[in-house]
Amino acid sequence: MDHNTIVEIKGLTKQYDTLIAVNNLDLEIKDGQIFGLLGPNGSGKSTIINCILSLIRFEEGSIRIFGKTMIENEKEIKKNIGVILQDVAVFDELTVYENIEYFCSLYVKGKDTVRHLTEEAIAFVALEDFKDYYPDKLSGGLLRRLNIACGIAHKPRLVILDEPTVAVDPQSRNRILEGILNLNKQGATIIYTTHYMEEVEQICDQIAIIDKGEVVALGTKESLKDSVHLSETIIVEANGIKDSDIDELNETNDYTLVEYHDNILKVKSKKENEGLIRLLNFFKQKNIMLTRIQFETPTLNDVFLEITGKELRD
Amino acid sequence: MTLKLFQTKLKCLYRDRQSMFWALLFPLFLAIIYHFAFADIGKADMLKTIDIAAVSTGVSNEASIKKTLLEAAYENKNNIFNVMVTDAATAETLLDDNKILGYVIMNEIPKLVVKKPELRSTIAKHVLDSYMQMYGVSAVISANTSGGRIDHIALTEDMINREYYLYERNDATRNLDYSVIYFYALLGMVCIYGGTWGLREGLDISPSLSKKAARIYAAPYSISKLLFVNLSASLTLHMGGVIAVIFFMNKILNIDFGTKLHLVALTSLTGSIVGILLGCMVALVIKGKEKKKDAVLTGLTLVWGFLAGLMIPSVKYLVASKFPFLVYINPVHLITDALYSLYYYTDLERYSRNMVFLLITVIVYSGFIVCSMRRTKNGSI
Repeated sequence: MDHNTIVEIKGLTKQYDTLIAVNNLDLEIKDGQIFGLLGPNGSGKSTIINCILSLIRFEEGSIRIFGKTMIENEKEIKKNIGVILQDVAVFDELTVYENIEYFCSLYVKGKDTVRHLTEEAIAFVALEDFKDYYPDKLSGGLLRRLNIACGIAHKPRLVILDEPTVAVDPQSRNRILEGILNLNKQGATIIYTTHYMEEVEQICDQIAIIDKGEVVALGTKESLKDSVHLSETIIVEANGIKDSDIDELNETNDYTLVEYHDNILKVKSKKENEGLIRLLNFFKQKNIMLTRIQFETPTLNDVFLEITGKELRD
Repeated sequence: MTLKLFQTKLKCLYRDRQSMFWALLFPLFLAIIYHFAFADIGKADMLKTIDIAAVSTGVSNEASIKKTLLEAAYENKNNIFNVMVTDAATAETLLDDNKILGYVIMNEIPKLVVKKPELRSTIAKHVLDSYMQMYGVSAVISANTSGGRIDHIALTEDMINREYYLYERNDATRNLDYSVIYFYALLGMVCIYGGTWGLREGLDISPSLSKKAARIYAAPYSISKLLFVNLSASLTLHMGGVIAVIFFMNKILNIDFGTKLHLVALTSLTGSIVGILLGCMVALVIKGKEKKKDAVLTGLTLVWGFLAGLMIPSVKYLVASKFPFLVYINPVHLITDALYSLYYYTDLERYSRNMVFLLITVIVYSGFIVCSMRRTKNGSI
């Protein structure tokens, strides 16, 4: 195991009765990375997280964290891990401050240290004005921030976030993502699971695309897009395109996708720039006036679609 | 940090208004209702002389048995029994016609026959048991005396003359009160209500049911230690409630808990531990959703309360005579009976037996919790 490797998973297999949730999975997460686990619901992301945290047993494979094998009572490893799960897990009867202090106390000894770390965590998630509030008085976004503060107050080296932005408004989501980037800047390695490809594209520097418990693609977002040779989508706004014109475009066999709705034509060329020139010539021949033309770069959803034949949000 | 976790947990619990209501205010409310409904029931009844028949069989110790029955008295010197010496057939007819509580067949080992078990019949049983103890002791003394010069029946009678057998009380001014059974059963229920706290703690460490549990399991703090801390916090708060209930019953409603208040407190503490462990065990052992576990706990508490005489006191005696094994697995009965024996009997034999069974219950429940935790630790999330 490379000394720079924080998490090393080899041959991980987890089965629920007849369902194989994770199948012979290998992963390596390096120090300082923001590692994204991207996959649709039910792809096995949370199971992988639960295995990493030793919350569930697995049938085969090994997990090493900070160079040590992760087992259920491995306190030294657990001390340096912060967990933020999808559901907000706090005590309704404790204030924001008391909740963070309580969870921090499970990791850190010393009254003064806990107090200091609690205050730092409150400042980190910008909940200073709400520290005496009970959770039921907080909005969804503020609750998520409390949930994060409870998971990171002890300053862990490895932070695991399992879909922390589900059902969060865009403003709060951006705040959370900014917070994750800040954590990373402070030296924490991040494992981030989500089925929102935009988030992964925004913050992750290494991405594993998971489907049916297997890694179907692994790399940076650029390398993933390159790996499937996806071309840009040409979007053209034009009046007077007939059905026969669409049929004609399809018959040329130069394009992988031709869609036309509400005066908007979407075309994916097999031949990059040559495809655009041919398309422009086609419109010229047909005497069709273009009002707008734009290009859309491929997304991770396109990569996922290309690899698995289905959408990420299936 | 253990103390800090304990304090935080305590805060968490007392701010839970719903649990506080069920654990503290509801029993107080029930105690008030009981006070108005039952406070005077049975007082007069208990002080009445009990009609009883004695069936002659001609055994050598018949006279001493008769003497025991005739001279047994309440602490206020009123006789306990009005004894009619008769034959078996007449006694049976009198019993069928409800003219007598029961009859004693005066064999060497006297046998008590009653129509249905109830509190007054246990008094008769106790008097006969006391007689048999003295009879047994005198037989041993006689056998160990050189030359066997002491007649053990005569010795028994001598002991009776010295009034050792009397159903005496320490506090001669206090009257026996039949209605205290209701309040004891209520106190037993209050102790077992601790199960609601225990259930909550058990659920909080069940990863499949609690969102917080996964976070807690991921932390380096020992789960067993944390559960112990949490259950201790629950017990502290629950005991506060139990003491408040005892104080309220004793000082405001004037319910008599006898003279051994320290033993009443010990019984309540042990009962509360049983209650809290019961809730925790239900949370961890019963499979299914929170509502199912809650329903099981509530059902158990109510059924046990009923069987311990919370609604109808005679049920307690019926269960004890027909299904004695239920007595030993019903903690409400054990608590109630322990309190009852402190109130009615000067010796601690019956009390000690109940306490031993309560302690066994603590051990059994703890065992289930430990085994379930091992299973839960790696259950599905």
